[in-house]
Amino acid sequence: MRIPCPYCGARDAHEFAYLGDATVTRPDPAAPDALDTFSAYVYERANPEGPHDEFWYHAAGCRRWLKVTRNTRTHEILAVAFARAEETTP
Amino acid sequence: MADMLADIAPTALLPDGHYGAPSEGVRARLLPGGSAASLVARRGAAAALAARFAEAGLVLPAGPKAAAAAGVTLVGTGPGRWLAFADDVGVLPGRILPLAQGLAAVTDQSDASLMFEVSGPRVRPALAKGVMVDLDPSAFGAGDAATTTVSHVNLTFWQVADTPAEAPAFVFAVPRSFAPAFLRWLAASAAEFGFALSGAGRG
Repeated sequence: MRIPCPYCGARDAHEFAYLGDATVTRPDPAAPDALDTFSAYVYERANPEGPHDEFWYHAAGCRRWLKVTRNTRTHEILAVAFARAEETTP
Repeated sequence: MADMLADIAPTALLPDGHYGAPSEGVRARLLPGGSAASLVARRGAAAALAARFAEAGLVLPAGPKAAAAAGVTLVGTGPGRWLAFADDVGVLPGRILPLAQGLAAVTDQSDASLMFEVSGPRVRPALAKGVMVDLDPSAFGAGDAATTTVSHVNLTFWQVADTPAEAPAFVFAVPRSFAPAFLRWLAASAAEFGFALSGAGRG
């Protein structure tokens, strides 16, 4: 599997470290149901078939976090962007 | 090709000499020690930094490129991140420190890497045994750079700016303590084409 890094170009998957699900959002720690929502945020993961948003870290290249949309059935990469929205190529 | 290196300590650089086939398909030269620094722009400051470097006659490339100007080679390693190299000892990081003032972090890397210039008529097929980046002239040309893993060693390399597609020269900045392993990989990969090593003395 090759991931087209927005800075480095297409690179072998073994240059990257996988963090996982990019669809979960950190809950409000001050909310009254924080214990339950944090438990879900930390532990509960869907196991979708098909396109899935994931965080990948380009550890051996530009050392940036990427948000990658990968088809979990075929490993086709459908979209890649820097995880940090304001990051641009230079 | 393991026999070829069997009597050489794996912890030391290979000594100068000729390895493998009698032809000279691949040449490597350990470059004399210079100076180096890393440059990391503060968030949102990359454009201002590039402008300041341009005023000083230096080129901060946008993207994974190597640009040599006024005695300093600047290599893009990530968004807002560069490695700077100079042939002269003690020039960096001093040369770029005033330019980075308020806009970027500068760290001395002078002793971090050994620099190998790798060239020769069969350099691409030899490098293809460990470099996962496509080095075909249609994909990687003069001035292009990559930070990647080669034979388990994380390094930065680039094709020297004024070298043509038919006779390219690449410079590999190899983390110093991994240089013996890198050189063993290079010698083993280039041996079938004939490999000449210079600049490393007795290893």
